[in-house]
Amino acid sequence: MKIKRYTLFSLLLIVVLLLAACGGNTTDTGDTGNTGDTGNTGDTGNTGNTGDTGDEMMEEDPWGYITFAPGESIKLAVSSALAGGYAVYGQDMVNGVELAIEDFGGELMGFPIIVEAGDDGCEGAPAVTVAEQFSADPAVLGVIGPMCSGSVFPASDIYAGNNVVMITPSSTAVIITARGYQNLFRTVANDDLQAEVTAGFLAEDKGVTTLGIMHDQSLYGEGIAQAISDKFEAGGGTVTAFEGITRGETDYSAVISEVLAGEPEAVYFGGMDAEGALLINQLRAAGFEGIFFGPDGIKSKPTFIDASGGAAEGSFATFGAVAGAVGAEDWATRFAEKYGDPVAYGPGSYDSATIILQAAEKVAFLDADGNLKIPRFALAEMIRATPYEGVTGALQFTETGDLAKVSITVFEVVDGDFIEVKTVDFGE
Amino acid sequence: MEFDFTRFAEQLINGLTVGSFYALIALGYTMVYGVLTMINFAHGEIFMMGAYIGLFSLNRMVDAGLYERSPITAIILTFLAGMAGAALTGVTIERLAYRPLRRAARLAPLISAIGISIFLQEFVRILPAMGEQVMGLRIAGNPIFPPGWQEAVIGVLEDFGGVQVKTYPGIFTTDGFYLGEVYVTYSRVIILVISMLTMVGLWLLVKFSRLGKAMRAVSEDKDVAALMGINVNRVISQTFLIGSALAGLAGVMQGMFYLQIRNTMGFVPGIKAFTAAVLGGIGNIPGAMLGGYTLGLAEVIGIQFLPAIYKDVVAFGLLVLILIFKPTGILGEALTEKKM
Repeated sequence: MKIKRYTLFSLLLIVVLLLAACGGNTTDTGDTGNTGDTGNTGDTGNTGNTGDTGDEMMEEDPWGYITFAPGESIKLAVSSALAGGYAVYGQDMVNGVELAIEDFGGELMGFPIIVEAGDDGCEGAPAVTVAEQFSADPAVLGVIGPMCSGSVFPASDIYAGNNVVMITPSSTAVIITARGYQNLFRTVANDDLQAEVTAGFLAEDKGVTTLGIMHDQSLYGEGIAQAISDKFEAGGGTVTAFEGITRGETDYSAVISEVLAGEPEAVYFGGMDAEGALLINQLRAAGFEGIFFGPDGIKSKPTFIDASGGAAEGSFATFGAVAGAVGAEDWATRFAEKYGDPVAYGPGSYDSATIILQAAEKVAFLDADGNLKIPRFALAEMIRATPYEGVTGALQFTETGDLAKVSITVFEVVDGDFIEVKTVDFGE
Repeated sequence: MEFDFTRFAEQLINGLTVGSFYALIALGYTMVYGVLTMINFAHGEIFMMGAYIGLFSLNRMVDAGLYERSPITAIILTFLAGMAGAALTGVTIERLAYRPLRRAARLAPLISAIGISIFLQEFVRILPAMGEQVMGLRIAGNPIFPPGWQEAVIGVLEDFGGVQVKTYPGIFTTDGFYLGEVYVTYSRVIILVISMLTMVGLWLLVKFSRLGKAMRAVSEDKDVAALMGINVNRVISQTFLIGSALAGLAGVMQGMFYLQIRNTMGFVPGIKAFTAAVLGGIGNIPGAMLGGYTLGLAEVIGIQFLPAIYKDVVAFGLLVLILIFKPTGILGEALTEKKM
């Protein structure tokens, strides 16, 4: 009985809260209706006008407008890991966006631009919370991030539902751009391409016929591990093991023993640098002498090579890049002076932020009351339509939001640093 | 599937190594529970602090050239520094965050422990940034601290903590020897020997020393122990000291043999060690050791028959099974009404 009363009470509470929320909304629209009466009449005037002058009036944007009253700040939002193990990447992204805003001049048509960072911890659920918060904020122009595919995947549903433009500088999972979202872009190659190059390199250049595969059970890690497995088997190779490890642990020797039981010539790890460093160290300690290969997630000197105690020597990693970078060296120097060397996604975040700002500048206009208005759909289309030359290269998006042109480079660890071994170009 | 004895033996050694870490950390949980009947959820972070303090001292010894001259002395001093640092952290936490709440509702210290756990994790992470803020403070436009200080202080803080993963110098190589067909690295042998010696030492201490007797008395009944002339607060502090030192030992060991340390490194071992403590019977010291090794072995034996991602399923499945048939854990005695 008691439980029932509680259920009833909580249901009541939910209803009350819902009502309160709705009430808030209606009063809100009522408010804007009051102050923006002219806007309303403008609308009706619009429909009236189309009959008369036709082309003169702008067509209503199907996704609506982002409106800034005079004096309001435009927010560029960053969703990334700001605390915890991957915070170093998140801070890198925030730094990139900050520098982009500074280089853009700090304002758009007299409206100041600021960074708003949200911590998604490289996880799905917090990324959704951040996405809901950003989507509900009427001053958010666009979102840079989330960083990890596992957070982009659920968060992009929210951004798409609210027509918020997002560019991720780092999420490579294939599925991300396979869902037909028009608000979503990424400045990195998708994992299919990394997998194709990796499988080809292992089989043809290194003559590997048996491959043991490990992954970190994340959307990103398991996704690319699966793609590698498919491509490698399609090329005639044998996958001897496909095993997952748990992020945050330190001793993976039990899983390694299982993988090495199949005596693979090479081991691939789909995952991030910290676990990669532990794995290569423990693989060598377990007597493995073959090739160790990983995706872009492990291509970090301080957290993979230096953290492996020398065991990473001779390992391979792929990284997607774009040709035609403009002023990258000069940019890196300026970035380093302010924040220290970029870690990984700083340049991509810089470009993503600049792309959004430049597109916004082209589609933004002031209405009769001096409010800055940015049409959401036109913003997304402008981002898609405009070729851009930035510090990561010449970026041009396709219909799905993927890059039209991209190259994947295979790196080898030689004398404690990544050395380019081979580059494969995709796209025209 | 054919039974592969070599692989089985290899996995046994893997399990024992992981189990050593679980056991060392579990001891802290169980000892604190013994005297306070509370779960110190910040214990994983004490383990992390031990690793960071150990690395910081090791770096100083490398700078001073001591490591070059006598590596063994430097390694022993690193362990001592890590243990002392962790012990100090543990005792301070008890004094500041738990003692004021000793008469409060049962959940209050638990929440306090979770708060401390988050605090320590983030403290280590933002320490350099915090130093930068503080050293950059100005009064009426004039910097408070002389210009030279700022770099020195930030340099030290960056050497201690920060966002980045920190790396111990690779002292122990992947060298080893063959035991039959099984390759065993020397570092594994060292881990096993250090852990087991420490645990035997602890057991002797609790069983035969005056402090051990006092600890057992306090865990039996605080009020009666006080009436018998035992300084309960001091015994509790000493319990935290010993439990935290063991976690610090595990932390330094983790850094030395697995190289990487980071501010979130305490979470997973903390949860696993807590599980081990419950498995062995929380409050029972030999139980924590047994629980640690049982959990470590259960993990590796499980994945020989199931995919590796089921490792934790097997381990926690075992916990559930044991708790169904013996709710107090393997060696746990039934708790009295008062202890509950």
